[in-house]
Amino acid sequence: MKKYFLCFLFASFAILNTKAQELYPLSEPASNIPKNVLGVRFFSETYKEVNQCRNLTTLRLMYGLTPKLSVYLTGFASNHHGAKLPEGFPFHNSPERGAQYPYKFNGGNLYAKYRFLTIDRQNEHFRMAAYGELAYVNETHHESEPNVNMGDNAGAAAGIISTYLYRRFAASLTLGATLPANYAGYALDEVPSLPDLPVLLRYGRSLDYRMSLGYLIYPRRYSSFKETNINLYVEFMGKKYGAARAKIFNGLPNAYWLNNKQYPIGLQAGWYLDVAPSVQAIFNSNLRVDFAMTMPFLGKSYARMYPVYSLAVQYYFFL
Amino acid sequence: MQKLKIIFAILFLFGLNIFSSQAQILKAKVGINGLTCSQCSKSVYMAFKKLDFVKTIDMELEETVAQLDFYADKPIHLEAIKTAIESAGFSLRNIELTVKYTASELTNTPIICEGDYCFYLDRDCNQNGMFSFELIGGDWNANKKLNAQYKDDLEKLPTSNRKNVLGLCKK
Repeated sequence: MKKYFLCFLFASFAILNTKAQELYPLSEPASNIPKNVLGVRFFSETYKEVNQCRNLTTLRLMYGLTPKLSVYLTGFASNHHGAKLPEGFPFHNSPERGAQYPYKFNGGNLYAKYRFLTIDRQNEHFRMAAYGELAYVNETHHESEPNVNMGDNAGAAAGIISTYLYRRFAASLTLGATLPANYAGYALDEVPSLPDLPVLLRYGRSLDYRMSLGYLIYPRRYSSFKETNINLYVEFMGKKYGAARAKIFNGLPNAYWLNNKQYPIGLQAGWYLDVAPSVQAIFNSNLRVDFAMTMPFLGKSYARMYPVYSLAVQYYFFL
Repeated sequence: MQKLKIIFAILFLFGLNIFSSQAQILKAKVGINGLTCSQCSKSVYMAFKKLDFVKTIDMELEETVAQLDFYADKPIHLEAIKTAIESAGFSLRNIELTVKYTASELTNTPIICEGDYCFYLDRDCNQNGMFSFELIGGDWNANKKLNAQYKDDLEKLPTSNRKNVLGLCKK
């Protein structure tokens, strides 16, 4: 099935007589926000988990400080996180599927991207950029896989983005690493009458990789800024991450690390590659609406359930 | 003494103009590299809109070219066009200028000037008082060979104009 999917994908690029696009719905290209332009991006991600829907909503402000340096400030809100880790954590109830959590503000992320290589030609360019991000989040995250750009973890991430475009074909590769911060909080004791257990949770560090491809299907020839553009994309996104470790009685004299070989699979080391086809409409060459569906391609993420539906709306203010 | 001052002033003004006749840059066809989408093109359009000497902008998205018409009474800064493109995240490929001049301006020198810029002209350019000039890649120093060839004429230009001599017209 996967082989057929890939064949279809590359045949589509070969057949369609179109220009390439790099405004990826789920990944950043090496290009920047124009100087003195303020971008506002609303993003919402939803998936079904047992008998309810989990939702994450983010609001991002993007600004072009210089032609080569862009900065983003993102706030996260979701119903992904409980106030405390579940009882029996980390050996049981993790991931805690179907638990009811309140919808609340999770924290924020500061992201910067610097384009350090630009080779532009007519209908062709190759660009490379370095990015770095810091997140402040203080939430119970039940899986080892770290996400500093989705409101799951505090920490830092950095990497390199390479975007190449030649006539009708565009591809972007991202290679990065995430260093999550520890979470210190409490887990419910299995005996309700006993006090909560102080827990320190050390998440796995990850190697992050992405490949994004895209093309324009309408219009076939540009004639006006007012024409609505329709773009199709497919993105492959994944991580390879280490195992989590938990210390119970954190801060007390009897604190100790629990052997992580006994943890459930969501807290073990792992890797996966998701695939996300998406469609994008751009109105008046500015208002951008993205819709994506993420599915497992190789392995899977335990930090969410599939399919994941994403909707984003983005607009540029030219200051 | 007063008469002498007036004579010197007239000679000074005449001396400036005799070797750097005035012309008018009417419009520019600007090639932009790296553009791939209408949203990118609009970013360049919005950057051009901030230039006070640009009267109208026509973006040709397919050819990745912008047609700019200029105000007659405002000084034109070609570097600002390049900076505007770069601020939007793209690169200047070339600028093709349309320059208007009067034939009598060429009697003393093959160089005519407009604002901060001067152009070498030869006989082939002298048609109906208009010529096109192409600047490749926005490289203001691309015409060193011509600068050497026309060194004597260049020496006669006001110092401020010498660095901005751009080269021969497009034939």
